Amino acid sequence: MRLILFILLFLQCSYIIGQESRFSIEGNGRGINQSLHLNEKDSLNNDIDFESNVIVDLGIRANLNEKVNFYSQIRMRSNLALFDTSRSNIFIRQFRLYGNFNDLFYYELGDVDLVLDRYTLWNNKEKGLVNESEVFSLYRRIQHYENFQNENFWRQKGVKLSFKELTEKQLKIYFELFGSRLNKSDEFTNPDIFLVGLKSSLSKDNQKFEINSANIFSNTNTLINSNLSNHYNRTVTASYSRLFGKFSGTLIGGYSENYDLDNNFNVSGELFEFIGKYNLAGTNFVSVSYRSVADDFISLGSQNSNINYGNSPSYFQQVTNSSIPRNLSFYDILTDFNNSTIFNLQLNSDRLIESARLGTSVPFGKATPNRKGFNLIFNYSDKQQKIDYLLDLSLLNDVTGEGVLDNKQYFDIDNSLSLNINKFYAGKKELRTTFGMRYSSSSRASSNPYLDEVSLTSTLIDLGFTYNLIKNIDFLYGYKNLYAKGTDYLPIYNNYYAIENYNKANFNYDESIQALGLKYNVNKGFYLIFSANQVKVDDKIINLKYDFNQYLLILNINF
Amino acid sequence: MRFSTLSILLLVLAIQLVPAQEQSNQIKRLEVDGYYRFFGFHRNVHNLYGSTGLPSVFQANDDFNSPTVNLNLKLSTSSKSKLNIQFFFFDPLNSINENKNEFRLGRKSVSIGGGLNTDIGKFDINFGGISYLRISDLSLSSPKQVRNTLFDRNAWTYVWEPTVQYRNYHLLSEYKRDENFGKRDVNGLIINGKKLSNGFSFMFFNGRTPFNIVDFKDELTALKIQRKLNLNSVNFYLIRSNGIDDLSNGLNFNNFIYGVEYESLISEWKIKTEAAFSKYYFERGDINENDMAFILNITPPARISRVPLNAEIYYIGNDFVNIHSSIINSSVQNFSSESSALNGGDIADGARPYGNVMTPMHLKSNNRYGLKLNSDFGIKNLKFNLGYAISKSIDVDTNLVTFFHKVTGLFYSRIDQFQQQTGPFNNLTTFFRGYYEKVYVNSNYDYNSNNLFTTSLVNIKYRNKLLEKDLFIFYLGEYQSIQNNSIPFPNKKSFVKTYFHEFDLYYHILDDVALIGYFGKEVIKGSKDIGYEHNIFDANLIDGVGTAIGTGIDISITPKSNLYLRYKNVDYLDKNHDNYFYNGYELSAEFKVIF
Repeated sequence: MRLILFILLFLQCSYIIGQESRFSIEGNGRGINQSLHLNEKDSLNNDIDFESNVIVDLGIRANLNEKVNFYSQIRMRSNLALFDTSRSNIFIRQFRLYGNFNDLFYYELGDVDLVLDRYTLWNNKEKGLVNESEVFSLYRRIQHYENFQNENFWRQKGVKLSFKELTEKQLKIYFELFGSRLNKSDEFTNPDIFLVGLKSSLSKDNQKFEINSANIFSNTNTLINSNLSNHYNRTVTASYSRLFGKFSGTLIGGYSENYDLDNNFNVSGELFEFIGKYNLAGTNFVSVSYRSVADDFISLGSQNSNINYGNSPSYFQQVTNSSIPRNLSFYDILTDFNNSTIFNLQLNSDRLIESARLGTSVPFGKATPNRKGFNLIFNYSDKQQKIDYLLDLSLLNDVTGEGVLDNKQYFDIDNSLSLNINKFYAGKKELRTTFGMRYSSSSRASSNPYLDEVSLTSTLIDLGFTYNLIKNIDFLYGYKNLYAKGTDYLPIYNNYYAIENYNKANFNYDESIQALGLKYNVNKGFYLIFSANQVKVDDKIINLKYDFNQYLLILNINF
Repeated sequence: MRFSTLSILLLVLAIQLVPAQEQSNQIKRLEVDGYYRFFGFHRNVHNLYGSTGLPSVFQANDDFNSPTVNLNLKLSTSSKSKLNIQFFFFDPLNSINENKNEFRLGRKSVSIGGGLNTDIGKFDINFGGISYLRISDLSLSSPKQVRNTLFDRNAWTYVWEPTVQYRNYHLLSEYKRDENFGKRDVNGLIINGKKLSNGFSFMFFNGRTPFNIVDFKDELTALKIQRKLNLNSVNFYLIRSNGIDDLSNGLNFNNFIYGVEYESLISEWKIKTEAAFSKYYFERGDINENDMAFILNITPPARISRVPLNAEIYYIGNDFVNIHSSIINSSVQNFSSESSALNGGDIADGARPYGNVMTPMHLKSNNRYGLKLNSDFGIKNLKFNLGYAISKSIDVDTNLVTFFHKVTGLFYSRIDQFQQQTGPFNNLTTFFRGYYEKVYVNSNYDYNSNNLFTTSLVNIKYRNKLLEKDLFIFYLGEYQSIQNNSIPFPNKKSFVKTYFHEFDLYYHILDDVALIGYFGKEVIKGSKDIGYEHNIFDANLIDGVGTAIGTGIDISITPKSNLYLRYKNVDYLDKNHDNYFYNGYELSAEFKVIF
């Protein structure tokens, strides 16, 4: 009875709250229905899988006063695959308290989004996309929403305090300090792990000076009778930028330190980067940069992946008549919405290597250790937005030979082209095509009779098509293909993130997915998608070949 | 303590915020409805098939975990979108030491949706927890049992002011039914298009049905296109059921139903007809069959028939199957809950009788063709509903006969819940609020024709005043038989004969108080060719008699809140078979508030 009374009062209160001007209700409702069919050549494993669920995220934003505000989000979720409510649940998905202490200080407490720069604290997004089609973008948007993948922020629980002031001399001062516990001690083997970060900048007119620092460390005092020692990882970068008319230059220097005082372990590494950028008309630009990141530069905050490629998909976990376990495909990453293990939500201490079939040149983006070389970026869009083009080209080498004296050479090129075709002939109905291609290669001649030469190429193609059939109804098509072939040696790290050995990895991998769909837009944020999708994977190295079809229905309402 | 504290805090906060209500329009609209239901229940079973000393039951629920509070929230988030949320609170009031109260999403759980008006029609979309759909008898529906006793209530039964329910039932055999009456529960996506040009409308559904259980998955897609012109309407529909019949190797099945339903009023003749084609496929064994069904229902004008009359003829082929319809599947083994492929015993409406099913008036079975006649008429305070149904099986390929226990069903289903092989001969299957029994025709019986099934129904309803207060007495009798001859009524050679007699009494003794009475008797008679066990000759004739005597008081506290007190004593005995006996009583106090 007490519970009932409580809930009734809660609802009464919520209703009144909802009517009150300082409070607002917002959120998202989404229903997903999936029907998957494995090809009929496979006679051992489940041929069919159904998934269906509906979620409502009810957010309450309370603007109580200048100093204290909060945002909370309650998730109500029902798994409809079985016809009962045993898998229905309600829980608090987010809670954040925020406000201004005074005119200078702002605070956030609870669920906070943290980011510094690419070398200190940065969420490296998954790599299997280059100018992705709209249909796949819609799927990915849902996955990102589900897994708190907001730009390059890491969503953590903690506290953030910032200071902002504009002096009389027009000097902008910004200072941000945050702390979070990344891992809670289980009192036996896994200690508490903390993150403390600092972001500060001074800017005036056309100059900016910035210092970022991330410190990740463990505290084994919370373990019972443990012999584990405390690990510390500190990274700090300093950058200076200046604008000269249309030209801007940025110089970045950084340093990392990884140590365990109890075991006399201490490794440090450095980096530097110079970026020159020339702004063309509009938003167009060309930039050239050179960087060198030492092999001992260890940054747990930025040398991370947001995907756990080693985890299993939810459906068709074993395929072929030999019941071979399959790895995550692109399609699982895009549409396995119920699988909470695909995305790496916890900024943990493990330094995962992304799947090497996507290329081995920059698994952690610019923070990838042991790389030096040039990067060129060119962006062009015309005024009428008929064409949008982006080129991203990198020529990199190892700083230090990995296991041998010879260095590897890396070549990466991304091409993204979007054409708004209807704007070429002033058509009113949207007709848009997107194309993206990434080619990545790594190579190293073999000077050792016991080692094979390194020669790995990875090609990713994205193709998309959107056509506005009739009012509010769009026809969507998306295609994605990954082809990887060759050999590379992948590093194996020890507990201190130092390379202790290499795995020889051979690839002859071909994966393609395509989707054909209709999207009905009721209004902004309220849409219905029905799509037919096909997935084909052929891994010749392990003799794994399978394909499946999926019919996917998504109803989305933002409010 | 923590709930009390939080409740007080919320109350204080709510009171503080009340004056601010008029300032904003952040939420477009919020509607709340539902009910509170306390159900105190006591049961004592004195004897269950020879077992005595069974423990008494005292609890604050009805054995089916019906919710204590059902809250439906309808939140309009914009002019075009909405959220529906159903909460269940379940509090069995066990003890202060046992904090077993639960807060969970109800069967409807959450659903999202919206709609819009356009130049070409009105459309709405809904996705989420359980909705109730009906297309037609042969497609997507559940049976409508219009004639029944009013003594037993369930969690969803409405609350009326005194006499309202009985008065409505007396007049029209009709009262406010459950939300799912005649409909099939589904979850998933529903798109409705209405007010399209030329009288067209459509309904599309894709989602799940109650048959989605751990080792059996079923996905249903349904499309109905309707055109209405004046008093005529025609429906075209397509249903596709597709799933896995065995998890270990993932073999699949599918079941297609295509059909058309036509309804018209021609020269005062009301005509409703439906024709459907069913096709099913099981990958296991490469089974591929199809068949058709046809129903014609005619209500002639009273000036011709003299008394109100409704006649229905039907043909439902032995391979016509659709477990999502109101048609019982008695002949396709693969879709029977008696088969391992589709074991549905542990889901609410999963247990489905199979074989030669003795169908009550409101049910039809496949593998049959037949005729149904119904008439409703009245003489002063007396109202009569008479019904007669006769049907013949098309193909006899089993000696299994199944029948329902109408009088003792609810009591026994609470004792032995959701069992498939229970009872002294393992021949009883219990389901939600009922059970059916299986018996077997002697395998040496020499059939000379297909089986004939008859059902007669008599519903007599009387209303009068006693000491200036309303008095209602209802009688409901239903008599069924199965025989292998051409005699169209129960006879000596009938394999099984069942007789159900039920009396309801309602006396509105005080302004807010009514006395309730119930007497029910069921008689099950088996011939010498019938036994409880398959292929085992039984010299003792089946001779079961069940009785239920009940009494109660209805107390109206407000128009939407009533207290219902009930007592019912039930026993069942087959005197020719040892230990085929159970008896006991149940006592309940239900307090229900609708808001």
